[in-house]
Amino acid sequence: MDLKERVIESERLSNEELEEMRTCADENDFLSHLTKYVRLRFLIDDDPIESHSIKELAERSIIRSIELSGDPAKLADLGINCAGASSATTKQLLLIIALRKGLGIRELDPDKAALAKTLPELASLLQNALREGA
Amino acid sequence: MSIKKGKDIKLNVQPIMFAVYHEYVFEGPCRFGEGEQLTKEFDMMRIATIADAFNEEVTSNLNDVPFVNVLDPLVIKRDETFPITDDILAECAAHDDEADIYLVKFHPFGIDLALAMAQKVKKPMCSVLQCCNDTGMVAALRPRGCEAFGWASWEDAIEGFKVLRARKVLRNTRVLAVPRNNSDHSLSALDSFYRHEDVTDKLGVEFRYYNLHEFLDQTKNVDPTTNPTLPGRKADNINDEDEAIIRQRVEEFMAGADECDMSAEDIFPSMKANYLVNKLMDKLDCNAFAAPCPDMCATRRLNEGRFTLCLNHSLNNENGICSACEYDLSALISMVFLSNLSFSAPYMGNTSVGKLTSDSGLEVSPLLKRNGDSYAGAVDAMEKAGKIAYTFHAVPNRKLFGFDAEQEPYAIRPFAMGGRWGATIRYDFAKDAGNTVTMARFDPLCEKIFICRGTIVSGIGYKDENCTEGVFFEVDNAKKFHECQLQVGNHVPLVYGDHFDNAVALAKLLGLEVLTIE
Repeated sequence: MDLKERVIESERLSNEELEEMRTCADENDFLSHLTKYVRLRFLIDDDPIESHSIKELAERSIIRSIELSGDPAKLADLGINCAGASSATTKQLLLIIALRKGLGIRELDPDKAALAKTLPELASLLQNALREGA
Repeated sequence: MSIKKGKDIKLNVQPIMFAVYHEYVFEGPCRFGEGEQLTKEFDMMRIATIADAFNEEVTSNLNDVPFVNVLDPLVIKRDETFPITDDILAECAAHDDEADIYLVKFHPFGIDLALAMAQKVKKPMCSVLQCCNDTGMVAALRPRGCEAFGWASWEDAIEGFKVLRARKVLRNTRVLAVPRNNSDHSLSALDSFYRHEDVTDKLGVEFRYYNLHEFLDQTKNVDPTTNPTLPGRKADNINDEDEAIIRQRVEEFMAGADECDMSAEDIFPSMKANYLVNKLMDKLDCNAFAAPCPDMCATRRLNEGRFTLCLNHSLNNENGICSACEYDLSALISMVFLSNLSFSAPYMGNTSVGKLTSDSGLEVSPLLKRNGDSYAGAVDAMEKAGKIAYTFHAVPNRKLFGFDAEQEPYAIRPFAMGGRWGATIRYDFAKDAGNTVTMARFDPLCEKIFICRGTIVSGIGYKDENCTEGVFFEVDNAKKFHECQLQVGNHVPLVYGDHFDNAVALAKLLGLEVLTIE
């Protein structure tokens, strides 16, 4: 499977996790789906890293992406914006936006969302938003 | 007692972040990115992460700085049209009642808001290295008459805060000044500040005058409505309860001394005077003290009461309340100036040059030669040293190495050699040879300040009585030291340690011309 096929497959599988999250009431199950979603979106689903730190996962993803692409220049856009965000921060914030949109959440508190440091924190935030929107 | 001591005053630092978000997705000369990175949602989350990192940076660098109080951080968000409105400025000034200085973080623009803030609140804005807004802000604000500071590192920032805190302490200094005939000067310190109002205008120090005879009356434990100077008015005389505390303090003072050549009964009046000084400072919201020695001496009431104010000055100074001999208010404020940079107790006394070169002999006050052994010891210690200056008065203290340092060893001997009263702390300055001292004294017009450092080479008077106690130090240029003294006057207070750079920085901040021998 080449990189392009891998990205497409990961997107398909991550969308399945997203669907599960929409209707999942159990906190542990929600976290499990979120973890799988993030690892798929970050292309690290086969990585042995076991961290729940979103920052660590994002940084790991960047390393893996460079390895997979074989061309670091392709990733340059991640770190260049006028907000001065690092690639890892950009990845993290884009992940949150993708989750919010994918789960149909109208609004997430930007302070709380941006400062969620771990997957359980993010899961809790998303589940609460889903419950409030239901 | 609840005296607001200078050493306990903190600098309130207000972290504030000026942030910009974009309402619309677009690109331009200062706006670039891709896809979702250009959305307001991304911007708002990015602001949150930057504010969080800034708070962490501030906390990790300032939380352990004991003289700084970090206020709850503020994050001011504006859209890309860079509005400045009354509401935004009010949001910025939310804690202005407490804030002494605003520590600014920019994301990515906001110098315009920093300027508007500085003009509104009239307080300094500062920044620690952040390309390229820090230099831009400082250079923009200063020409417009606004105070601004930029530091290249947190270490520099902390030193800067130390200097700004000392200025705050000066502004919060309230002197209990106890004159006899003239509230401007005492006869032995005509080189002190010429016009007190100028000092208040320039430094913020306030002077609260209190009649010397009313003070002396209240040292007596009598019916407080029967003082000759205040007949029928209930005054703050020492009472039985006060006396019990004073006796306890005398006991502790004697117990802690390596040598004590005085009886508790002879120490008691000096300790009582210190107690009353503090009682009145507390009542009148004062935190510094001065009284005229020769003028007061001439009344013969000290002889009657069997005390001098030497011990009072020593105890006040080591307790964080600057206290000066001879109603020398220039020396007093110089002590506030120094000790709030060093966080240690100051020492003051007659100051002069003892040796111009290593070849010349030691030339000192005749007072210091009275005890032959003591003087010979000092001469020997300085035989090979050159460029010597010295300071002497019987008001050393046990906290010269820092308010939080261990108490130094001391002896107790009398000032009055015949009557054996007038307790003084005897301190062996010779044991501190090799230590650096920093000295300072304001000129009479409060326009200049002499700042200098030296290295202790010897001491004198530990074994003596009376005023014959002091410290000798080597300076860079003794002749220039003398020339500077001709402009500022006699008593040049000192603190231990090298605080020269911060002293010069504080002087410049106060708009003073710095005289120095370096």
